[in-house]
Parts: sequence; C-alpha cells; structure tokens
Amino acid sequence: MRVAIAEDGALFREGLVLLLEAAGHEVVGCVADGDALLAIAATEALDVAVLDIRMPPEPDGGLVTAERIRALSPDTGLLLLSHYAETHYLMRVLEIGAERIGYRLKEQIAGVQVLADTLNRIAAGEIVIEPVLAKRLVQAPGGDGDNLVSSLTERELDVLRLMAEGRANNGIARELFLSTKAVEKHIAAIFGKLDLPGNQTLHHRRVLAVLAYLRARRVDG
Amino acid sequence: MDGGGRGMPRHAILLPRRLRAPGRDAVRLRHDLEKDLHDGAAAGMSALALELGLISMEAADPGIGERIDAAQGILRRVLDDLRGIGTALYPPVLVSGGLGPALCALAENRNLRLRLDLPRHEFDTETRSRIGLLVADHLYTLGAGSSVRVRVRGRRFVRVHISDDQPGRIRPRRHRAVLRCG
Repeated sequence: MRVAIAEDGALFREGLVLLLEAAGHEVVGCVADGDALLAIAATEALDVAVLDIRMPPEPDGGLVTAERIRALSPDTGLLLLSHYAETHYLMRVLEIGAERIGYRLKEQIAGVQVLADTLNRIAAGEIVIEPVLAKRLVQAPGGDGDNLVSSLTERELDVLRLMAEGRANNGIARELFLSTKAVEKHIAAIFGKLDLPGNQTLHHRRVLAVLAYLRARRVDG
Repeated sequence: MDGGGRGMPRHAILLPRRLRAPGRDAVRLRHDLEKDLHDGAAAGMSALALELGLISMEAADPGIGERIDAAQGILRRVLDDLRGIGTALYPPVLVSGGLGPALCALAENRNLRLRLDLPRHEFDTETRSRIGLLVADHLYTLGAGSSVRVRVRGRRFVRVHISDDQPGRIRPRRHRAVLRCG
C-alpha cells in the first residue's frame, strides 16, 4: 500500500515509518502537520493516510485534515490515531465518513500484524474502531429501564462488541471461531432484541446503528 | 463528609454545599501539565511501543518474542494510567469539543449517568474551562453507577447546580457554585 503519515511527534513518526516499511508498505510522505499532508494528498495517489488527531493546525488538526482529504480524494483510506479513546472523537471521525476510515489508540497499532489488519480493513472499505472504546460502550451500564443489552446472551454480547469495532461478518466469524451463518443468526437476534432499525446487510449502516444505540442509552442532555 | 452527620440541624442537611471553581492560574497550570504529559511521557511511551513492535519482528527466538509482548502489555497499562492522569488534569475533549461533550465523555469513562442542562449561549474559553474543571472534579468524587444532574446558567455570574444520587445513599446531595466571569 502507498501510505502517508502526519504526526507531530518525531519519535512516533519515525517509528511508524519503520514499522510500515517493515510490513511491506511504501511510505510516500511523512510530515509533522495536517497542511503538509494535504499537499501530499493533492499530488500523490494514496491508499491510506495516517493522521494524529491532536496536531497542528491546533487543536485537532488531524480531524480537520482528514475531512479535507476525504473531500479531495474520497477513495483514500483514513486512519486517525490518538492517545485518547473518546466517543466524542469517534463521532467526529464518523461524521467525516463511514467507510474506509479508522480510529485507533497509538500504542495499540504497535505491531506489524495489528497494523496490517487495521490498514487492510480500511482499504477494504470498513470502519475500524478502537476495540477498547467498543468494549467500553458495550459494557457500560444503561439508563433507567434499559435492560435490553442485559437481555443478550454472552455470545451475542461478543458479537455486539465486534460489530461496534466495525468488524464485518467474516471478521466476526474468524474472531469467534464461528461460521458466518451462525454470526448472521446472532446479529439477527441482537437487532431483534435491541429493536434496532435499518438494513443489517449494509455494513457501515449496521455499525452506525449499533454505535448510535450504545451511546443513546447512556447520557441525557 | 456526606451531610448526614449526627447532631446537624435538618435545614443544614438539605442546603446545597458550596463548590469552588479553580482560578485562572490553576486552569492554565492544569492545561499545560496535561499537554506536557501528552506530548512528553505519553508520546515517548507510544514511540517505545512501536520500537518494541519492530524488535519483535526481528526476534527469531519465541521466548524473546513472548518477553517483548509482555513488555508491550506493561507499556499499555502505563499509558492507560497516564491517560487517566491526563484526563483528570484537563479533560482532552474540553479544548476541542466544549463543555457538553467533555462532561459527557468523562461521565462515560467513569460509568456515571449524566443529565446536562446547559445554556444555549457559548462561554469564552476561560469560563468554559473553569466550569468544566469544577464539574469534572466533582464527577471524580462519585462512584460508578451514580446519577448526576448538572445545570448551568448565567453569563457574567455563572451559577452551577449539581445534584448527585449515589448507589447506597439515602438521599441525593446538592451542590452549587457561583463563578464571576469576564
């Protein structure tokens, strides 16, 4: 893959270049701010742009730049990295796009396999959501009268968590050592129990429906 | 102190407690400390995690690979601790997202049920920070599963009302603060 990076921390930036190259990717650009990355995206064909959320232009230059790159080159995948896993950032990431996009914690992509998996899923059109955040959303207690999530079986909770990570059916099947048919059955049961609307067959709509549900049951105001 | 002490007159129990908002200097200091933590220790640890990932690729001995994985696990836990400290110093969403998103994020992280009632108008950055840190500091005193209501009103004199209902307590507690702004 042809990848470009924008990250204002020199040590992390250099380490990421080495890891990407070791994984067999071509790093066509490596800069310290969003505007410089945008200039690269305007002239180079990129498979994925990797951006630190908190970099110049301050305060969240990564999000602003990702939005501009998506407008300039909709086929370029976007991977946003952060020190913090916050649903506020996740929602802003999903406003930029619900396909070919990811949000991960920096230290969680510090291995060739996990980095390759993240980039491959983004290039394949998926949404990739930090598992720590997906787990927190699923495990969080709901509000008054919210017994719907607690009505799910343990296996259905696993499937719900992986859906909240943005995993497609075959990815969920691989993670849980299930057949895709079994995954489909669990998903249908989850949608039924949670009374979720929408077409389950459209991957990104399904992820958005799950995330919207998990957020809405928690905080009022 | 929970306001339910013996010998205390009943009206004292029902009166809201006063909270004090951090001053300008404290806000600036906390903001700078969080930034230093983010750009210094946390950034260095994340870079170290990448370096370990690279070394792991070159390690032919499975035993070495396992030790590197264990070291990465320790690093992730340290980074989690740093995230917790950074968020307590100055919630990261407060700068970019504003008061509502920052308090919702904090409630989510601490498993609290939050009901927010904020004015429609925007506050300037400094006022937003002072209100945000005042409420955030209070949210840190509450146990998981607590319900909390926050109401903010006013412009020059901002009034903050907080009531919280913690599991195991008989009655909700009320708190208030007034900030002079501008």
